Amino acid sequence: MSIVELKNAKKHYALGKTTVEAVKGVSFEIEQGDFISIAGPSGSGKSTILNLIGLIDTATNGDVLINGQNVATLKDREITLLRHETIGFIFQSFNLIPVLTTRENIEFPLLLGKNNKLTKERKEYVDFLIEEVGLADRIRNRPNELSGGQRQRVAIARALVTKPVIVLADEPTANLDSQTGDDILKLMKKINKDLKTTFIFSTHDAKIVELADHIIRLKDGLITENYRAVSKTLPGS
Amino acid sequence: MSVATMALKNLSRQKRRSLLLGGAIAFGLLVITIVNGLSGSLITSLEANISNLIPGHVILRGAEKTSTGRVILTLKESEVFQTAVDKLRVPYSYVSKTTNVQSVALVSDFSTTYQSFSGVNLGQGTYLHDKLTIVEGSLDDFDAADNIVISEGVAKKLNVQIGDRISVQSETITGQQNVVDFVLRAIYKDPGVAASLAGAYAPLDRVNALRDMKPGEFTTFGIYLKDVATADQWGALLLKDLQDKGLPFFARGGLQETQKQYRDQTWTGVKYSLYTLNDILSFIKGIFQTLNLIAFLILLVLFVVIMVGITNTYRMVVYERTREIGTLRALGMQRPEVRNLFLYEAVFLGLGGIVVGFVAGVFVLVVVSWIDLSAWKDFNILLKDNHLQLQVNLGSFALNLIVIAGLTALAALFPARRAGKLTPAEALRTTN
Repeated sequence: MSIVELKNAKKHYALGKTTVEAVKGVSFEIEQGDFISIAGPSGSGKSTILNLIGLIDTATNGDVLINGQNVATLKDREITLLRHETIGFIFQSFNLIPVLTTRENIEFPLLLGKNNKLTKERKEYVDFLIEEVGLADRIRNRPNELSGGQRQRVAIARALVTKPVIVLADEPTANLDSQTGDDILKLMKKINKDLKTTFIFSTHDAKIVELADHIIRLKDGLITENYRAVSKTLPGS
Repeated sequence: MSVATMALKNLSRQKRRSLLLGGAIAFGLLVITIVNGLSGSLITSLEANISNLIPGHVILRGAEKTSTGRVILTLKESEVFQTAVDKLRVPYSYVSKTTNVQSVALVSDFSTTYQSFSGVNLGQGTYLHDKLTIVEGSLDDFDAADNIVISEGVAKKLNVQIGDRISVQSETITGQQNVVDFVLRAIYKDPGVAASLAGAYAPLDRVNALRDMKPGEFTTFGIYLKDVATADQWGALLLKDLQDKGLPFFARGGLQETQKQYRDQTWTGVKYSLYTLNDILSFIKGIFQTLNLIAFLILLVLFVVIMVGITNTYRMVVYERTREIGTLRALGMQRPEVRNLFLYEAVFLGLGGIVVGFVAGVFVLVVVSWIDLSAWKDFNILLKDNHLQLQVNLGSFALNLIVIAGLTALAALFPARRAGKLTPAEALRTTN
């Protein structure tokens, strides 16, 4: 069953008196456990599609289905709840909360939503994630005391803490040096394998495209290619 | 971590901005705490000191108007008053029976001055015996002879020492001139600006003799209550009870109002008046209340300015944190939680300012209360043992706390609501 389905989805923005057609009608499906790359040049509509899938934005026309549920019928409160329970986010600029420590940043999504108690089991999972992303010695540091790679690791742990079925990563390696970028990708691929989490990347990084097992290429708001591929592995994986 | 905890952490992000805004709130509260504390202190001291100079906290008087229009102060039904006091179980510490003369001439070998004059019981255990602050001489065996006690200021005017003779000249109740000689037995501490209320005191029967009244008669029935704050309450109950018994009363008011009624009204027989310490002090209290009101209005203006500052600051804060708001929303924070994050932040800022301002205000009051103001003689009626009394009104602090915290939240409401209404997409698209 598809975990994400877009049916002729369109997104138009008003920019002054003109309307920008960022996505001109795209349709595709994503299966659970996919490591998918949405690739294309700047302005091709990658981020807009990621926003539609992440329930951060709504389609002007067409349908967006998450876990078979059409989100167009949901209210803002329900959309927020669905987003919290289903989707994790990794941003290009990390987007960590500056006043919170590494541990607090990772725990933060657990304190939102209906079930917002930090139980022993949840704390243990946070510990597991901190170990997994290799930040056990940085739990009391604030984001401004961490390197770019460390910040992105915090963001990955934060994206996974609610055990989402989908993780959206918007150009996650764009602000990292090559080696750190590779490390981060390895980590995400490992999590994808171990936890069967669906990773959806928006990128024009060739390395990510090579790692993906499902590739969607965009140009000018339209899909030019949508195919499954045999993913490569990074050296040392 | 709750939204409130996160709001607290956010306060530390822009320390300088938080300090300036919190400091402005603290300054406002510092001013109001000092003004309230000082006026409260002055009123309390004034009440305590004045109640030592007047015949009671609740005062009953009788007046008869003769056919010639002359008003004779007289109290012919005093046992009715005592019965009413006992029946209502008025909690009093002392009941006084005095003869008061509004103005007499005090004549020494050197000078003459005009002063109110009271015939009182100043013996051991009486209210005035305990409360008058004697600076020279003594009140021992005061009631036994032709003794007189006057204030420091009057003693200075008359240029008299303890043991000197003072002649008192006054009209009798029938309008004849009469003179009685007294011996200065004691001098009490000058009440400064309240000198007009601080008369000369002599034994009741000697003053009655001067006024041509019978021994044991008196003109004023005064009740010194255990709690002076209840004067109005007990005054009203007594008045109702006595009126129910059929005694005719003038309308409630202060001394001057009662005297105006003596002049303007025509009546037969004895008509009574009841007034309390608050009636006497109403004018002075009114001044302090006006002072408090002015302070409050200044504070209000100050807070309007501060509120504009808070609104602008939080508009800026929301603008600066737009991407972060987008992240919070993306992570699953609901709109009301985002709004509350900013409201809590503003309320915490307000509460911090209030507490700091209040503590600073109390500190200033404590320091001021340590200063010896004995040189401030004209105003020692406003002091207690030559010091301003430290008085902190927790009720008014609680009110200020609620009002200011509410105003701060109100000031931040507009930007906070705007923050809550941001969609995650537009917030995350922001480049600031």
